[in-house]
Amino acid sequence: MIDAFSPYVAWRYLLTRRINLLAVGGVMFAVWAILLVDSVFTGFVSQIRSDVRASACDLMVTELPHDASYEALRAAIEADADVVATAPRLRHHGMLQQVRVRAGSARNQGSSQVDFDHTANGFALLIGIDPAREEAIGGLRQWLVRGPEELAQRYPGDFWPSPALDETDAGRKGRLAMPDADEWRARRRAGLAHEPDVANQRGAWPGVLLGWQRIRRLGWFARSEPFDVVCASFTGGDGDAVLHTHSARVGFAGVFATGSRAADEGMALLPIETLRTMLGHDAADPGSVDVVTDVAVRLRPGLGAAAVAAAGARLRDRVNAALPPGSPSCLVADWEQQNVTFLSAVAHEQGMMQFVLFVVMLVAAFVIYATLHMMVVQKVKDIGILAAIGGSPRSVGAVFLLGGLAVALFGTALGLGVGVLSAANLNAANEWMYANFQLELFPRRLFDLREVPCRLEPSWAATVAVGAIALAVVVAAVPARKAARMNPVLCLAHE
Amino acid sequence: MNETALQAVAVHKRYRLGRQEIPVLRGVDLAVARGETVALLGASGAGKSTLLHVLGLLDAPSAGEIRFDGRRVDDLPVRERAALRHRHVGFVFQFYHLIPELTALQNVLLAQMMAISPLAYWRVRKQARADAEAMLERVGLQDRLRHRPTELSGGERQRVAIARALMASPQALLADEPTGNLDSHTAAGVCELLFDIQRQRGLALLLVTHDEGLARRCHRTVRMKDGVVER
Amino acid sequence: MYRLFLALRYLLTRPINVLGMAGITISVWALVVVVSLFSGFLQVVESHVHAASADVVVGDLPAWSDWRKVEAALRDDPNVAGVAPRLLHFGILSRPGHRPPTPPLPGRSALHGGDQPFLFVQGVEPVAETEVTGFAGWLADPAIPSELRCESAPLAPAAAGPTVLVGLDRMRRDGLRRGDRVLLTTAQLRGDGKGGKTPVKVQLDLVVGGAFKTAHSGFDGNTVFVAASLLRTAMFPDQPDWAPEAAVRVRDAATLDATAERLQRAVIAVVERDGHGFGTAQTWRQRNAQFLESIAHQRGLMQLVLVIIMVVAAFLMLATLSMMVTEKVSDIGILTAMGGTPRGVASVFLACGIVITGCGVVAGLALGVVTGVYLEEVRRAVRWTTGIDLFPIDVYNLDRVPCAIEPMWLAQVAGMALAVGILVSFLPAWRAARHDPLVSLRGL
Repeated sequence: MIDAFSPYVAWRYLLTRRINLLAVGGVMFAVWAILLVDSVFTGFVSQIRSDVRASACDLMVTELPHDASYEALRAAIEADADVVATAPRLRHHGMLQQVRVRAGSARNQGSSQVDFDHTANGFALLIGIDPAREEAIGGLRQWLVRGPEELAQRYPGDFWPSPALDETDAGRKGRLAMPDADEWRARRRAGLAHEPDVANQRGAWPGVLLGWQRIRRLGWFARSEPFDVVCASFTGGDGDAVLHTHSARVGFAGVFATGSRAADEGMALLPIETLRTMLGHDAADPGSVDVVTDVAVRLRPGLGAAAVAAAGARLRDRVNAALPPGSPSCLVADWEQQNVTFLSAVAHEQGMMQFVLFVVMLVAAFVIYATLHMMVVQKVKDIGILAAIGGSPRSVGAVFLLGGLAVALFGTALGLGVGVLSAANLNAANEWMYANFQLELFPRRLFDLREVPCRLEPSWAATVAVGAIALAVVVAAVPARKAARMNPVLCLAHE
Repeated sequence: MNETALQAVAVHKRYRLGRQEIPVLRGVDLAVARGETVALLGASGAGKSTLLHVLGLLDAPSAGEIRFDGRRVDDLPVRERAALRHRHVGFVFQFYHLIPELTALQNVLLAQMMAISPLAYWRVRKQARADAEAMLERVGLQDRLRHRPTELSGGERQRVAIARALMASPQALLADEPTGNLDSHTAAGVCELLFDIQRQRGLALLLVTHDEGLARRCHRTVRMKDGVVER
Repeated sequence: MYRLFLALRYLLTRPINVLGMAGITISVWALVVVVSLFSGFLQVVESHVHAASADVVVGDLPAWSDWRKVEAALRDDPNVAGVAPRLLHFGILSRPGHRPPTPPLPGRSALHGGDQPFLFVQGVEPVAETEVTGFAGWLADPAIPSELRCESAPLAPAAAGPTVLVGLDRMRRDGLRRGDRVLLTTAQLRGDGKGGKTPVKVQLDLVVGGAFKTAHSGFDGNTVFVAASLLRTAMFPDQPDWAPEAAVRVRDAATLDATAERLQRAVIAVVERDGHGFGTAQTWRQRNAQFLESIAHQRGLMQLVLVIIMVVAAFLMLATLSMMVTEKVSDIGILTAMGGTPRGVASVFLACGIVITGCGVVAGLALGVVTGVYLEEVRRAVRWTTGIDLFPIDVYNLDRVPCAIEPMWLAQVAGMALAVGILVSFLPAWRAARHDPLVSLRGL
């Protein structure tokens, strides 16, 4: 226990010594800077992560053999109690060419390391999906809502939302088919064979959904705009595989935005049966396989990270058991593993930022140390007086510890207040700075976002506050200890 | 009258100065009874102040014993010694030793805050304040409560110091040349106050001084030389 | 003289000033190290990008343009050392009888590409190409093992057919060897007789002639080279005099931008039609501007954050110096009594601040430079002790953490720190000068 005089004297010192204001200012500035910089960075990262999370499914069973059958795997996966739904995905590379329009010659977009952009050439990562099952997985519907939104925020125009999922007829929905009249109009526009009367036109084209980043480059299309999908497939196993090329005509059925740039640039979604047929697994063939390369899995909601990891391990074992003997093990990837490249790059940057912020706090702690140390030196005589009138060494030390604590408390509280205020008004301030000084502290162009993402997490604010106070107490303990250990007689004689 | 409030038994005190050990007290025996006033005289460096510090538990003796009310106290844990220093003795110094940041009233209140937890003090704060005001009134400073030490004269400062020393109702008062820094007129006033209070409360008063006149007013005079009490 | 003497005495007898110095040192150190890291990274990326690029590329040449005229116009420029035509197309490379791997999930592919099945096919004339890029060096890179190395003249047709040069990493990943037969599958737009054009599959039967390796793994993974004549015959038989792109090497890189502008004008003059100019001349930097700028921007953002450290260090300096003035108040009285002017008294404290800042800056620069030079060792030590990898060098295909210590930046940091230090020294010094000496002498 400390004596009553310790907080009292500490408080009087703080009020009468302006130098402490400096320490309070230092801590305040540091806390403010850390909060603001980190909230911008966290806002940015959490936006990225939530975008990436939205683009991924709970678990993805991938690295399957090339002739894996969905029905066999589905039974194995859905037997698990935590699995709510599964959806087949068929991943293949191919090309997408708008019909009757001059294709861009291969334009080398520059030897940019991160941005070898193939979209202008029509290269696409074709993903065959089963729309009804994808809906059960979640995601697809939001992607289709978000796609036109992303474009509308940047460009003027009528970006119609995709009707693909509102189709009531299961067969048509499965083909992502657009209304027959749309196809009729598209055929007429493109000069393709069409019925003279719109009422007689029966739609033949499956739909294709394109990522908004690709649309950004190619331009917006009318409903059912015809595209040719070309892909080279292989039949047979390794060693005797034979290359075939297939093409199919599809109609533009809408734009999606998953939030993951790689997906929004590269991916083209089309009905899985269309892609299977192109790859030589025509459903009409008796020996055909309902081939998949990945199975997207939705888990029971509310599972913790450990439960998801356990479910992943269980699914891997189940799937491996269902695969033909001798197949290499599949991979069950959670959403982070599905986007490992990008997320690890982001994490590295975050680490660097946190290192810098730690240094900021360290220097701020120095300020507290310096002021308290000086206080002890200047108050040597007071230490003697306090001892003479009955203060125990511990309580005398506590005066200085409490002084440091109070400085940290005030600095942190002010820093938190200013930090919260400035985080809330960051975009306004950024705007104002730009309008008046042509200075953009946080260049939005860099983030490709409408406004500077800023997210002040209460937990992070609490961490900073507790960290700042703890650090202050640690550095204050040194002068406090020094004060407690002083010989009171020598202190009294001190001049 | 015959109850010893403070007692030093064969007290030695050595200071280390570099490699040398300098003996300051070399076997001092001294007892001050309750209600008794003792003047401690001696040349500079005779060890008077050191004896005072050791007797007040501000400094630990190298050898020997310190007894309060006949009970040995120098071997108690540091916290108890601090509490005893607060409860049993009061110091008055030549240079007043007031805390410059605090007003006269606050300096006196400070003595109330010793050996009491912040919470306990909070409950009695009104009473403590009233007591401190009464004490300052007692020493004649009722209209100087809000003044800082720098705004007070030497005599006034010493009165504040005396008020502070008396705040915890100690058994003994240890005064280290309380008038050494004052002009004779002011010094007389301070002495008067000191003896007055001593008589009123029946305190043991040990007074270090160079002033023979002042010494004569005490019951007893003890002379020190080279760290021992002269017989 | 007494000013400097006193300033030094004050400094030496007060260890707390070391703390003020430490603040400056740390901020200077952090500014030097972190920014040098980003500068180094930028330099490395630039050098990688440049190593795989021609100095200037004149692209988007229209189909009616005559290559000979374009080449003559480009060579006419005094700063042009070489010009080479390039034909560009795209395709998928496969080995007959081998099933290629499924393309990676979008989120799991390499950060800078190169592991996708899609390829850019560059049709080049080896002799001309050697003139404008490090083409010959790419084929002779020491990392290429002898069994993968191109032995004959590059892109000369082999007995089994025309040859293709493939990036070393792709060769390894696909298990390709020299002499293997590969199929390049691509599509070409052909007129359908009704005024429109539809894609038609084109397959080229090729023989792997060898591997190439540039410093730029993205380029290697995304590009294959074939002979220009082959690509022209297969893809553009109707346009014998056309090349869509011209790669240019300049003599003097210092005037690159000006040269590119001249070439732009020259090209527009040559391929003008109906009053419209065509063709774009871009330097390698302009072609990669978005990527390079994003790194430079990151560096800028880091600088901004690092300046915060300096501000906090300024607080520290201000605190220590103010306390020194408070503590030396009695000295101020003595100095004045001895005949010191207020200005002289102030300069004592100002000198203290400048010496502290100066020492801090020097120590920070020295520490920063040492850390920068041994950054890779520091990274290893940190990874070994804490398991944290400060910089993902594998991702960027580097063998050590890049670090470029730019003297200009050092000077900027030093200048900024000195300015901050002097600024915060002024406040306490000013206070000292204004101090009433009588107050301190009276000891009140």
